[in-house]
Amino acid sequence: MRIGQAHMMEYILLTVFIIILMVAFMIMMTVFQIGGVRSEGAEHVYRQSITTTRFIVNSPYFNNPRFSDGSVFDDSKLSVADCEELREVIGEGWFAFVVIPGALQETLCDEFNYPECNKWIICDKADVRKETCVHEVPVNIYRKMDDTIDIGILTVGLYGKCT
Amino acid sequence: MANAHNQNLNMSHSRSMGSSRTKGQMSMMVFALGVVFFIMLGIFLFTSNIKSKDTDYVNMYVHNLLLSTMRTSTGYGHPCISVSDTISCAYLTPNRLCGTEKCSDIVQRVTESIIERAIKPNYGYFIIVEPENWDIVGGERITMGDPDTESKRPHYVANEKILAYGSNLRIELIITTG
Repeated sequence: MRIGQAHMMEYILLTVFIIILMVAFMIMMTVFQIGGVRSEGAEHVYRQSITTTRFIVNSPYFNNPRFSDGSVFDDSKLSVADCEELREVIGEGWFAFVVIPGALQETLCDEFNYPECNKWIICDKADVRKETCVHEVPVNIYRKMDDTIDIGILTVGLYGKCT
Repeated sequence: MANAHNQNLNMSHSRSMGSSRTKGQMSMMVFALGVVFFIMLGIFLFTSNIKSKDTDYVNMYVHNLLLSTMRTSTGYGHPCISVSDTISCAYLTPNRLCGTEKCSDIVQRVTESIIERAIKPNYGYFIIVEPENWDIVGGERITMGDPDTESKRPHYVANEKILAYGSNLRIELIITTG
């Protein structure tokens, strides 16, 4: 009788072990599924951010036609950039600005202080609280008045998480 | 007779005890194998989920950094109007003057000051300027930045050419992101 009980206990324990393993397996798979979906979403935001950055870097909207391989922004074109026009082409949910690095003070460019300025906002960041996926890329700024080329940093951000 | 019966009983009892022990060990083994299987599955799923997705961005960054640096004006006149002009002058005609200084004397300072303005603070860089087919022909090499960057991993590389009369120059920029 005792031996039978011991056998029963063994089978019960084994069954419990197997059930625990199956539950653990299911929990693990669910966690990985959720993680996979999240990482796919982040990957999508990342790709979109890279594509938007490439589009702006090579866009004739900003580039000086003298440089066929792109990424030389004309400062006069940057000064009159229309965010709404660009949003019609690229879509909503992004922001971008260009800064000439190394200056003591950032001066935003407009029609009044041009060319004595070093920052151009192409599209302003609408919501500071939102999570953003930001990429910085070095570009050139063609200073039309001096006929010189300076180095600049283009910052492009998309609303969403990409890390 | 009674003793023999008792001995038989004891033997069958110890046999059944032995078989239940074996079964217990078996179930422990099954459990341990299951745990090992799940740990390995977890490690596999975790490692297959890790992707170095920043590669696209850093490649774009390093190419743009090199191209933008090469095109930037130095503030000097001919023959050192841009960084690429200055590099080319320093390599081919090192004693030529840019303002009051020799090309070879200003190339390092000019290039480094521009690249250091633009590069992210946590990135390291190393620039190599050499003639085309340097590994076959040999010749002088101009290097700028931190030479250890070349041995660090991961590093990202961008290449450009300066088309110059007499000898084309190959410029390699190597950056590390950490």
